[in-house]
Amino acid sequence: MDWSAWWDTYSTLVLSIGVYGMLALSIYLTLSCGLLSLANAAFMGIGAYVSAIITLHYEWPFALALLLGTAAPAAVALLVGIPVLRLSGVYLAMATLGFGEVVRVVLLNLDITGGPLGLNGIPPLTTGWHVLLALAATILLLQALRRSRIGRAFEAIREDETAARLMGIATDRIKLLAFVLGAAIAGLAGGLNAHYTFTLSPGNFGFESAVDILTMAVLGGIQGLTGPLLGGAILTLLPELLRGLQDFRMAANGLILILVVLFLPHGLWDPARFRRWVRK
Amino acid sequence: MFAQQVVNAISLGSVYALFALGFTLVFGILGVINLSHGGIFMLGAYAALLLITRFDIPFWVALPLAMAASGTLGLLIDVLILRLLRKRNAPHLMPMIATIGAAILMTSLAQGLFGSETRRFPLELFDQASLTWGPITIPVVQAGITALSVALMLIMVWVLRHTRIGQALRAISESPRAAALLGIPVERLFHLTSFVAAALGGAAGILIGLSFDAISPFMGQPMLHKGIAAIILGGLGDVRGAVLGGLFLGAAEVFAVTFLSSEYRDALSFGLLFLVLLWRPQGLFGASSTRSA
Amino acid sequence: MLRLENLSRQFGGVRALDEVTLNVPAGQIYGLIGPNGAGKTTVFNLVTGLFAPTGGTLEFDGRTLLGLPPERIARRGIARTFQNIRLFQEMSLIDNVIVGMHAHLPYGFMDLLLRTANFRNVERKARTRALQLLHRVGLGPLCNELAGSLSYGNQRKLEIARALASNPRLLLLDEPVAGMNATEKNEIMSLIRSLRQDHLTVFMIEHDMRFVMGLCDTIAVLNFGRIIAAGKPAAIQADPSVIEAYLGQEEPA
Repeated sequence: MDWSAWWDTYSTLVLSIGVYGMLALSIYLTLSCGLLSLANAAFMGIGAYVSAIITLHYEWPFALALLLGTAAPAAVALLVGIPVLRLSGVYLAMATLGFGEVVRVVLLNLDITGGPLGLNGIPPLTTGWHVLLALAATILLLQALRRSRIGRAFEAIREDETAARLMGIATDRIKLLAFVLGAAIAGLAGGLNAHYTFTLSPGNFGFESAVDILTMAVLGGIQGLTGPLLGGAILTLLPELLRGLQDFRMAANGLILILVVLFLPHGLWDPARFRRWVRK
Repeated sequence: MFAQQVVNAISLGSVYALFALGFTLVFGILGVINLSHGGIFMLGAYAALLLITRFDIPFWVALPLAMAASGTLGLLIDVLILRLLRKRNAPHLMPMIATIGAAILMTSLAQGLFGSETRRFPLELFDQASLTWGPITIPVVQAGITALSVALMLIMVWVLRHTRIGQALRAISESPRAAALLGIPVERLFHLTSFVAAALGGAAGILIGLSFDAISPFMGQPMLHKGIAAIILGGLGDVRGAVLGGLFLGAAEVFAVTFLSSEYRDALSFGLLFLVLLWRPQGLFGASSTRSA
Repeated sequence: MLRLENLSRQFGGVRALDEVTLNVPAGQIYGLIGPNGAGKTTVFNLVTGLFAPTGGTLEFDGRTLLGLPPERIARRGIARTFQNIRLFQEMSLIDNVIVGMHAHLPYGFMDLLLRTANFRNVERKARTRALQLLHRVGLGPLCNELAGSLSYGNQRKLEIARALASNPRLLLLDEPVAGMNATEKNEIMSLIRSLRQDHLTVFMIEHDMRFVMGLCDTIAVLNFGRIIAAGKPAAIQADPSVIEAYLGQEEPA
């Protein structure tokens, strides 16, 4: 088999598996604290636009563009998160949905973002190594968090926020950390994504993308890091497999969400279920 | 000019309110944010369009038929999805995620079945005249739309306030468990609520389709966002609040166009929503967090 | 050690607590009893910062607790258990206990990121200590089970172990033996005695009179949000107003 021909054909797909894996991990962070935040598509958008504007208009190095594309959404998340994370449950989901729409409309109307046309001709700078490195760094970071007091605090907050506070956990700060870190990861994923798809438009970062990201994490399961990565890979490959369906393609996403919630509430990758199988 | 704006605001706001009413009803009674309400709204419009254009059914017959079809869809979502989650006592995020799935499924189905292009009700069916009263002009169709949404809302509020079913629903909204102990058939009333709420959503879809002269598979999502804004402005689960929230949002949008560029109009509802959530999570009009039906 | 002075709390128009004054001295086992609905758990909720009082003062070690969020109060050295058990059900027993140590694991972000020697050392010590605590309440062998799978009595024991993990100086126990059998009650009784020997102050709510009378150094009685008596167990048992409060509860209102 000719690898370079294969790579020419499938590189976008392979890069997307990595990038969407990162996005699924970014929403996993907030979900593992029991927070349904639908802002990650917007953070991805901020990261994508910031880094693309830098490489396109200022021609600064790619690494710096990615760095700012990570930092900018994190800074926004910090500002937005302090008031918004006082909300919980349904209210938080609605507020983050609202935030995402505001970001989309702002991207649609600014001159520097190219308005409704978006940005075109973004230099093709992202390579497989970049994505691999970013993904590995994300996984290592999250794995380190999981095995520490912060990871345990995430889980405690998800199960019983009041009890967690009475254990001396500063829940506000821990939730803010999850929110900001999620935004940073989503922003980095956005920056990488922009530099291999070469175009950006505000529509890429609306409600549907937010739902896509959520679907990945819910489908894979949020018991660990494997679930979101698996969900990201499946949902990236699925549209390719369902090409024949054309207009009905999005229907698969919807159906998956319903079926997983109804029949696999812990997602596909559920270590507890695997252990039960082994015991039988 | 100002009087005309007020009339436009009421006209737009009353349809928003009708949509928000069904939305808030489901939250008040079932305790669930049904994010497929926008999908039902859209399919309601298509159902009416199909009845009118394919089967030559007059509008006044097609409207209740399409409402019944939307209601059935709402009932299906309750029976097939929400009921199972209730039984399992699933965490509150689960119904939200499942109904997001249902919304996407509906949009995609509509796209596949009816195509992505914008469709229209055959306007020749309707009176093209306008009513004029002093400086105010309002097309007959628009007046009819407003009258119809107000009428549907009044009926709903009357049922909730003054009938035994309304009383039972109020009991459920306080505490489903206590209501069940009182012998109220909670599960059946959940089904009924889902049906009625979806029928109202479908009606709103038909009226918006008529009012904006456009029906498309993608009309549900922006409306859902407006509905969310309206019911959070009014206080979640509060019927009176949803109506006021819808009217308020309609007014805000109409008057905003005079101050803001129209591109930012869509962000307005969310800007408002955002501020209200931070400032008064119980809503502008809600007295407290207690639900009232 | 813990001082409540004229502490009041209203819910709507209802006075749940009405000018409660209490003084829990260091090193004692202090009991709070009273009929159902007297406001006992409300006292705990005010002390731990879950609710703000509507009046009065609240001091721990001479410093006010008013205005502090629950996590800061916990870090001052107050831990509690709950009447309706609130464990982290889907976490293992040992993880539940380690969560209790959250504020006392001295490593920074860089430590955990790089898994430094300090990080591994602290985590290893935490595990060892958590195991010790689980053994102390008799749950050592179950340390890797999920908290949700435990029996009712064992869940109460786990809650105590989790509360002890934060190294508190004051431990609040809300009905520690509710739903337990006689053997388990005896185990808890000797556990609480051993805690006093470790110089821990215990402030507890309990309905089981034999348990309270046999264990507590001082008892306060709460009725309709007011303290109606406080003193040694023998004095409380003989107090006519206390007897009346309890008899009054027997009669249908």
